[in-house]
Amino acid sequence: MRGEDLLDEQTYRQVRADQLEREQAKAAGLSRRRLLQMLTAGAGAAALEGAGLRAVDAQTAPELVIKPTPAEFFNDFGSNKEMRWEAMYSRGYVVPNELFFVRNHSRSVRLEAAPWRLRVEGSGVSKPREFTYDEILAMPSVTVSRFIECAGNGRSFFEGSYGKKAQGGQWKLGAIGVAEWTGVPLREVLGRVGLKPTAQDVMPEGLDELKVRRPMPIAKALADDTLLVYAMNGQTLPLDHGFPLRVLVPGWIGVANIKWVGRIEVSEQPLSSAWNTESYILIGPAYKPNPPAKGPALTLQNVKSAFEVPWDGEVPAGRRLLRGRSWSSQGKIAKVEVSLDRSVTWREARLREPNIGQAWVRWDLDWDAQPGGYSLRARATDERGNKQPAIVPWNDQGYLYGAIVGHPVTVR
Amino acid sequence: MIGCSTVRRPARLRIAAVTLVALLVFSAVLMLAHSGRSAPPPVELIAKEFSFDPKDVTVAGTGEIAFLVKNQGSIGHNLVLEVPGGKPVAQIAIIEPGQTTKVTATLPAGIYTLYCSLPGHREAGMAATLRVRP
Repeated sequence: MRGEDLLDEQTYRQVRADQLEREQAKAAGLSRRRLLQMLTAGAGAAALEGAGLRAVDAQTAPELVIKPTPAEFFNDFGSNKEMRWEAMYSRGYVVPNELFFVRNHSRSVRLEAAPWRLRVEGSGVSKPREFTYDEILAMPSVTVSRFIECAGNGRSFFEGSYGKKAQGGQWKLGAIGVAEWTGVPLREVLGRVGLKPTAQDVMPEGLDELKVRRPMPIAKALADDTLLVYAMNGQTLPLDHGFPLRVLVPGWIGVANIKWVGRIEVSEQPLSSAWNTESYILIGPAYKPNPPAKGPALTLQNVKSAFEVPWDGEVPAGRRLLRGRSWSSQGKIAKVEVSLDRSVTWREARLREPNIGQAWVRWDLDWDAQPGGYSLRARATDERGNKQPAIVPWNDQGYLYGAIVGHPVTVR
Repeated sequence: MIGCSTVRRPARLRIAAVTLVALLVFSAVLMLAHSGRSAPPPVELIAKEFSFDPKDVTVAGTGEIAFLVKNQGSIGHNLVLEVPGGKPVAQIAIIEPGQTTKVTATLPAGIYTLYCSLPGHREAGMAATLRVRP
């Protein structure tokens, strides 16, 4: 299917889950209802879990993350490094490469461009082949400003709302960055491998220890701004961010933007991986299981806002500009409101150009800061009317915390 | 009121009851001592990227088995203990780097699988076999 409706990941996963059930039921000689019963009861889940995965040799490397990540700019979560928002105060639109957050499922990979190859193959192409780094660089390229954001950005705030921690790294709001990405539209590459009209899914795969991979429908793969990226903010893509090549899947959760990509599978059949059936799914009282996944796959990223102010830090009293940024996966930000008195009153912030959908907008507000303790709050609304709520439903893996966040700060 | 009246038992019946209680206490003490002798020692496992060490563990003696899992790696891992057929019987949700976490399971004799269920970890090698012998 090439329908535009599949650009929404929730719809995409539902359509694919239905297809997969039908095919598995057919292969097992069962009715779809019987297969669903078995999956819900846990039988057969293990058999599905490992399908299509292959073992790799463990590599050892001394560092989890290669670039310097000083405490001045980053919160340290081992293989994950969160950008401290105060580092962005008074900076420009993009996050410089040295400040950009890092989210790795294992450790950063050191690859060299010369021996590296991108292999594109699968039942959805008639001319599978490999591409060298130089061949990729020689193709038509575009440059776009887009955010990449971890699906768990804001996860730590579930504890404040529900009294218990969600699984995973306890990010505040710094697992996001906007950069100017330069690369080859994925469709340029797919156009050189004999893409079949019957192709359904495209799954890029990383060359990291875990071979991280996650599928997307062909409609998303052919979008203008779905890129194979080789430059970030005008510089060669850094090692921690996926050198020599990473995928940019605008608006989708961070894990879709596969780093160190070495293989792309194009299939006439629905594809899935542990990264859209075991994790990066919503599990909780508000969500129903969606076999083979334990819950619905994440939809697009939601609306969020952050202040460029130290977390639980101090700022001097007096007149100042209170700055922040807001973003949405579904378009430009239309309005940002700020409360300095714990949601009693709200003032509209000034939006500063550029205001790019699937990137962010910078905003500011005059603040005559008087001594005392504050819980700064911002709520953004995007051009489609999506607005940050007061609370979001619980999910075990702590994804998509898009509610209003109280940012503690003391004025002295 | 029903149940409030006192009934005097014959002396022979009282002696039999006392003997029975004594026998039961003695059996319980014997069983405790026996279970203490055969309780298998804890299974100690090292988790790291991306393996469990040892990869093959044999435990002599059924019953409650304790698993002590130390994460000597750099990223978080977890543990799932599965019976043949794929049903999890014990798990540790997350073991942070440097942490040691304990879980227990009561297992009959058989062959079990231990693995880390975080995406990709099992396929990268984080699995071990547990053999429980009678």
